[in-house]
Amino acid sequence: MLATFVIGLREGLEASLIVGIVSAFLVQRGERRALRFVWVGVVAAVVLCVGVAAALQAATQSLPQREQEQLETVLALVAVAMVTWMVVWTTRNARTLRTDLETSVSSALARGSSWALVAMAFLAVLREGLETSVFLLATYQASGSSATGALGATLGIALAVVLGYLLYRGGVRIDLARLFRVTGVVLVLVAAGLVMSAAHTAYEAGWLLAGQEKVLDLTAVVAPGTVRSALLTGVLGWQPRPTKAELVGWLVYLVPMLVVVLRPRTRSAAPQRVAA
Amino acid sequence: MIRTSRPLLALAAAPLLLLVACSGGSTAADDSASGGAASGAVKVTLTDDGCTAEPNSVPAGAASFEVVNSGASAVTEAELVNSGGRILGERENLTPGLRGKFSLKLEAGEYTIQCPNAATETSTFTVTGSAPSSTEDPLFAAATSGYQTYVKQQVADLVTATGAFAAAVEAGDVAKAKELYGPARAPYERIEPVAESFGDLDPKIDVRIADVADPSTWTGFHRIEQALFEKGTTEGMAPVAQQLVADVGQLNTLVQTTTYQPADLANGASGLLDEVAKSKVTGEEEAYSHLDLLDFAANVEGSRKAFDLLTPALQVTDADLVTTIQGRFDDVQTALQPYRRGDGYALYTELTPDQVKDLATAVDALAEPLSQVSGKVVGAANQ
Repeated sequence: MLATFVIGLREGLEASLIVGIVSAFLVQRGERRALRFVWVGVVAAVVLCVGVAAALQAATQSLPQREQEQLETVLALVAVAMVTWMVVWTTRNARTLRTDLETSVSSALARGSSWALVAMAFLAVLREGLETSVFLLATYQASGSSATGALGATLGIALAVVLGYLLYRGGVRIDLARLFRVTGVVLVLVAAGLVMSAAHTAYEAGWLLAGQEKVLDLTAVVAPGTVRSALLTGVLGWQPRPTKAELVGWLVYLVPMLVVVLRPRTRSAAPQRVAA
Repeated sequence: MIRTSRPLLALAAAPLLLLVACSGGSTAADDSASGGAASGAVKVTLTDDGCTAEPNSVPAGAASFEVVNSGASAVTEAELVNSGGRILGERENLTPGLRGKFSLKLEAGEYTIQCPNAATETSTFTVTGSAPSSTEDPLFAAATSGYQTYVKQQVADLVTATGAFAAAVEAGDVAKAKELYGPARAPYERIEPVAESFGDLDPKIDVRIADVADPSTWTGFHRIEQALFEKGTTEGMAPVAQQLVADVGQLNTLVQTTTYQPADLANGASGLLDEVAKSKVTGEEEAYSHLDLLDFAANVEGSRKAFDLLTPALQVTDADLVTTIQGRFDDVQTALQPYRRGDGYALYTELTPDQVKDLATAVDALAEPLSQVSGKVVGAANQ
C-alpha cells in the first residue's frame, strides 16, 4: 500500500506541480480564459496516456522502456526551456505588468505565450502520464496485493493532484509583487529538478554515460520508499543518491538562474514598453 | 516574443511524434526473444537488501529476465547494465506483488544487475560462451530468413487448424473434434522449439498432465485430448478451446517479428530430435489419442527443414557430416513409412515393443551427428 502510494504521489507530483504553477501564472496575468485550454491540454494528455497504456495491456506488450526514458528526457528539457523562458519573461516584465497589464502590447503578448503555457501543461502530464498509467493498470491487475496496492497508487495520484491545486490557489492569492519573486525562485528550483530528472532519465535512455559515479548520499533526507522522498523527488527532482552528472546539471542550471531571479533591481526607471 | 512562441510550440509538438513513433506498433526490439534452445530465463528478485538473479549466469544468446518484487518497499526497479555502464534493459515501478519482463540478446561478458536504493545496489551477472554473431555470410543469412518464413507458414497453418478444431469442440461435435485434433498438432510439433523460446506459451499450449502442479489450471491441447479420447465428451471444454485459440494467436503475433541465428536452427533441429526420443518414442505425448507417430513425423520434418536450410553453409565446412546426417534422416523417414495410414499414422498402441525399439534406434543414430551441427555453425559464423 505505502509503496504504491509513494510512487503514485511522486509521478503525479511531477505533472500536477507544473500544471498548478502554469494555472496560477495564467490567472495572475488575467488570462483566466486560458485555464480552460490548460484543462483541455491536461485531459487530452491523460486520455492519450490511458489509451496507450490500455492498448499495450490489450496487446500484452510492456512499455518500451528505453524509448519511454528518451521521451521523458526530451519532454523534461522542453519543460525546462519553457520554465526558463517564463522566469526570464516575468522578471523582465514585472514592473511593466504591475502598471499596465491591459495594454494591447502585453495582452497580445499574453495570447501568444498562453498557448505555450497550455502546451507545457499538456507535456507535463504526458511526460509522467505514460509510465503512471501503465503502473496503475499493473497494480489493478496484480494478483494478491491488488486491492490495497491499487488503492495506494490511486490515493498517491489523488494527493498529488490536491497538492497541485493548493499550489495553484496559493499562487493566485499571493500579491503580484511577491508572486514574481517567490514563484521565480520556486520555478527555478522546479526547473533545476527537471534538469536533474533529465540527467537521470538520459542515463536510463542510454544517452548519457559520463559522470555516473554517486557523489552524494541523500538517503537520510530522501529515504527511498517514503512519502517525504516522493515529495522531494516529485517537486525538486532530488534522487536518493545523485550521480555526478545529475548534481552538475542541477548546479549549472540553478546558480545562474537564481542570480537572474534574485538580482536586486536598483533602477526604478519608468516602466518600459516591451518590444513585441 | 509573440514570434518566439511559435517555435516553442513546434518544439513542444516534436516529442509527440516521438511518442507515436515509439508507442505505436509492436515493441519487437524490446519483447521478442529469439527462437532456439539458446535462450536463458532469469528471475531477478527484488529485496530491500539487494537483488538476486537466478541463475546468475547464462549462455550467450537470447535471455529473458523476469523482475519480481515480492515485498521490497524501497526497491522498485532493476536494471541490467553492461561493462561500459550502459543500461540494456530495465523495469521500473515494481511495487510489492508486481512483476515485469524484458528480453534481449546478450554477448558474452560480465554484466551488472543494478537495483537502486537497495542496501547492496549491484550484483554481478555473467554471460558465458560466445554468441553466434549475426553473420554477414550470405549462406547463413539465407538459412535464417528461410527458417523465419517456414516458422511463419507453420504457425499460420496452426492458427487455421486450431480454429477449426476449437470450433468443433465448442459445437460439442466429439467425432469431428477427434478428427481435427491430429491436423492441428502437426504444425505445432514442427516448430515446437520456437514456441518453447517464448517462456510460458509452450506450457499453456502443450503441457501434459504429469507436468501440471494443479490439475485445475491445466490448459491446452492435451486437456481437450483427455476429454475427447478418454471421456468421449466436450463438456466444459469450450473455455479451454477458446484459451487455446488465444494462446496460438499470441504465438502467431510473436513469430511475425522473431528473427533467428544460425545456432538457433542447429539447436532447434537437435531439440526436435530430443523431443522424439523423450516423449514420442515412449508414447507419453499423446497418452489418450495415441497419435504419437504423427507428432514423431512432424518433429522429424521440422528438424529436417532446419537442417536442410543449413546444408549450403555446412557443405563448406564439413561435407562429410552433411552426407552422414542426410543418410540418417532418410533412415528415420524410411522406418516410419510402414506405419503411414492415409494422411495420418498408425496408433502408437498398434506397435509391438520391437517396432518401437527399431524406431528409437533410428532416431538415436540421427541425433548423435545432428548434435555436432551447432558447434560447426557457431565456429563458421564467427570466422
